[in-house]
Amino acid sequence: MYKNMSTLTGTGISTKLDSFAAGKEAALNAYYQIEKNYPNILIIFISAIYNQHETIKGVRSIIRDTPIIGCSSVGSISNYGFHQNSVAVSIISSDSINFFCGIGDKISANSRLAGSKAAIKAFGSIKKHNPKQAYMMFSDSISGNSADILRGAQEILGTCFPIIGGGACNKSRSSQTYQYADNEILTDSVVGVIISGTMVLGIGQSSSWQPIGKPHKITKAKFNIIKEIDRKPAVKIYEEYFEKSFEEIKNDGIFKLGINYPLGLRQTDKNKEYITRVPLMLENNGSFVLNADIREGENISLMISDKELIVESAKKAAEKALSYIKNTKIKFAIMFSDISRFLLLKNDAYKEIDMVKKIIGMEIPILGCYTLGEYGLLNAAESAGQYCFNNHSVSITLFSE
Amino acid sequence: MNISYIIVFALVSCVLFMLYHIEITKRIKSEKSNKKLQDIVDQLDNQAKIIIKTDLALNKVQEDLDRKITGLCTLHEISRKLSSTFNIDNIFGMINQPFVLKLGFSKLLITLKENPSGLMAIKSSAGYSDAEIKIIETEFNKINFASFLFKKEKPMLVNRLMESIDRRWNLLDLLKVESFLTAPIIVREESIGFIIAGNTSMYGKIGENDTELMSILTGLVETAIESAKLYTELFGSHRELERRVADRTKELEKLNEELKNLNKMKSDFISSVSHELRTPLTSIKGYASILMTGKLGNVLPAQKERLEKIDKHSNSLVHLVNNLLDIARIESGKTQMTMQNISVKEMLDSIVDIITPQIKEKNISLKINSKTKFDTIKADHSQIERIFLNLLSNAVKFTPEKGTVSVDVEEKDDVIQFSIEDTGIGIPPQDISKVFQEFFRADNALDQKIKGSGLGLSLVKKIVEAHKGKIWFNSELGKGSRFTFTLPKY
Repeated sequence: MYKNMSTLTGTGISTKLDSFAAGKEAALNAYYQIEKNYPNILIIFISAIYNQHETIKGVRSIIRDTPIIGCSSVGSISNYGFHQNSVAVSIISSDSINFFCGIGDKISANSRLAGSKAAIKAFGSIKKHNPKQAYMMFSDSISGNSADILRGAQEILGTCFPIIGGGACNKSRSSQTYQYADNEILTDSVVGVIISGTMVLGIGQSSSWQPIGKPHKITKAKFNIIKEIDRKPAVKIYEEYFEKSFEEIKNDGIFKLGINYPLGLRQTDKNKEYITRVPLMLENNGSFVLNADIREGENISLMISDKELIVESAKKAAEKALSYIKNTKIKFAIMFSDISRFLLLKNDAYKEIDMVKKIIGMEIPILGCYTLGEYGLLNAAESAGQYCFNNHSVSITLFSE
Repeated sequence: MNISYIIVFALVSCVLFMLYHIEITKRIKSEKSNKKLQDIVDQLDNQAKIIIKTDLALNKVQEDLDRKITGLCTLHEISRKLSSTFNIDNIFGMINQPFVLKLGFSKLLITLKENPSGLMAIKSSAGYSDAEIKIIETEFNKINFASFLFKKEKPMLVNRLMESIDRRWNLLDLLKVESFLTAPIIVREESIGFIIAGNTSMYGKIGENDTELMSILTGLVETAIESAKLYTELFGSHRELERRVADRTKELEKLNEELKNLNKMKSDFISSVSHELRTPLTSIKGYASILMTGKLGNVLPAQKERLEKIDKHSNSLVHLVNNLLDIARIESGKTQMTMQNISVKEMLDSIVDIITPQIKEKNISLKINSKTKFDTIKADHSQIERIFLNLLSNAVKFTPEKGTVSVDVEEKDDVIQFSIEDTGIGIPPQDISKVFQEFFRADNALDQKIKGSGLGLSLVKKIVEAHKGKIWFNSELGKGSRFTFTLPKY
């Protein structure tokens, strides 16, 4: 149990086999931790192996009317470490924070519209006198364009309004992902929640992937599809670097290769942080479909990372977040780490969480999950405080009073 | 003027030419350095390619190693769990979703052939809903997948690249996986089912490396099923045996009860008959004694001789009746042993006194060897005397003249052991088992000459057992016998 003057958080994790029982157990554990106080919101992350409806029913058997937000994930992140194939329920009970949810559907048809729809609904519910602090959203990562979803939300909230969250994920690129808002279990959607109140936020994001090899120019691209790189079919870059044929890449799945070796865009010459894009699908003409858009004429590099760099970047993100909240007391932290980091760290995934705990304080409650792409602020100075969609990063948001 | 123009022109041309030359040289130099730079970049890029390939290979090795270690640990865990049950249904319940996920698969099915229909039934599943299981089960039986698989000896790998099997039945779509491994379950050289383990993820596509894990898993399931079957059979036989033993015990208990009743009836009968006999015997003996005194008239010598015989035989009959009565009483528990501390030495001395005339008569040597410091036992004095008198008089009776009779007393744990040994005629082997039976007399010439009721040893056994002791003997025909009995020290 993590108890503060006005804010209580509790996180329950269950790995029970039965979906209903797992939901119930996780909710009950979290509820006990907030000492059965009034919960403001439930943030839920459920592995795709569970029957999603039954799990939510299990959660609802303990806590009935509180708003729910969350998504499916390969694993949850909490003070207890990482848990694969689990149900994680986090409850926030606070008299200084309020939450207002919104839903945007059919992102595959119009990601931008869906993004703005969710933000409008969430924003519309908020009382005017409440200071808006941040917007947390979870989107379907295997359909639509995540950067467009963000743009849609930014049309309503502004480009410098703190937006955190990420793409719901499953271990497989082709498996369905789910987004939760209240009692609805959605897919091909985006769910968002406006966080309002008097809290001070500190957001830090960092990616550990580094370029390798010479830069290449995107010579033909449209939205989130790269058609040509260096005037050759886009797939050639992977064919050349990995010495694999088109058929081999197609059969193995471009996502499998791209999740570990994505394409990186350098933001400015000064900054060493790269925005990365993951090829989700390989088309027969050798084009890639990415999970966010990319511009023609941009220089890209193949990216690589290792375990040490990942842990180091978690430290960097935590330090960055901490630097914004001087002279206040941290109440809790929300952490989203990209699935690629989890796949590379494997059993060492706890090291990333431990590093964050070490920086922000061992007793600070952490809640979060692994995502496919993260919304956040990668380079505050270089991007003029504009929030963006990135992959392979870890995003840490500290809530303090 | 013209000359000066020409000179100026020549100078300008010269300067221009020099500038051009410098520019060309610069350009050539720049191109050269650009080319050099490009070469370096290309070289670095080639090195990057090597690094990437190495990284990819290392990642793959690491991934395979991780998967193998996790898989083997999981198999070890499954094996431990499986060995704790002999119930086939429990076996399938144990291979549940967490284990399947730890093995690196996302879906699993275990099917078994149903008897007598021969149809395949899914006994265990992970990652499938009940509705999906029904569809898969029906489809498997429709395409008779089992008969195709049962021809295979090793696990079979199926993925999108393999044309034949999947194209034929669309198994990947049916099972909703990207790749799967399947292997038959063979128990006692008969294929009884199969396991299918698949992965929905492109990231964790099943490869040839997983066949080893699959073989081990199948082996574990096969062993567990075989053990469960053996256990069931063994348990069945055991139950049957137990049932038979219970029935037989019941029968024996009933028979034992009947025997007890019969024995009681016998004892009661002997007891009442003996009582009935004793009264007339007392009269016969009394009248014979009166007649012998001559008070009722002169008794001729021949008459006296007959009367003496009547008296002697009456005495024998009284002795016999008394013995019978004692046996019946001890058996029925009517005789209470009056337990008291008895000095072994004193008791033996008094018995030797009684028996001495007979010993002397036959010139038999009597030895008493006592190796015990423990002198007192708790027993019924008169009954213990009867034991010694019976055994010693038997020993004297059946030992030829100048023979030896010895009494050994030993201390053994909680008992005192007494042995009476003689150098007599011994007991024929065929009679050994009957020695303690009532009215039994050994079938040899000497025995027939020596008179006795055949009740003595039976009575001795009853008395020893009434004292919670044991009695046994060793005998060799023509060489002698050794009767041993024990009495508790306390």
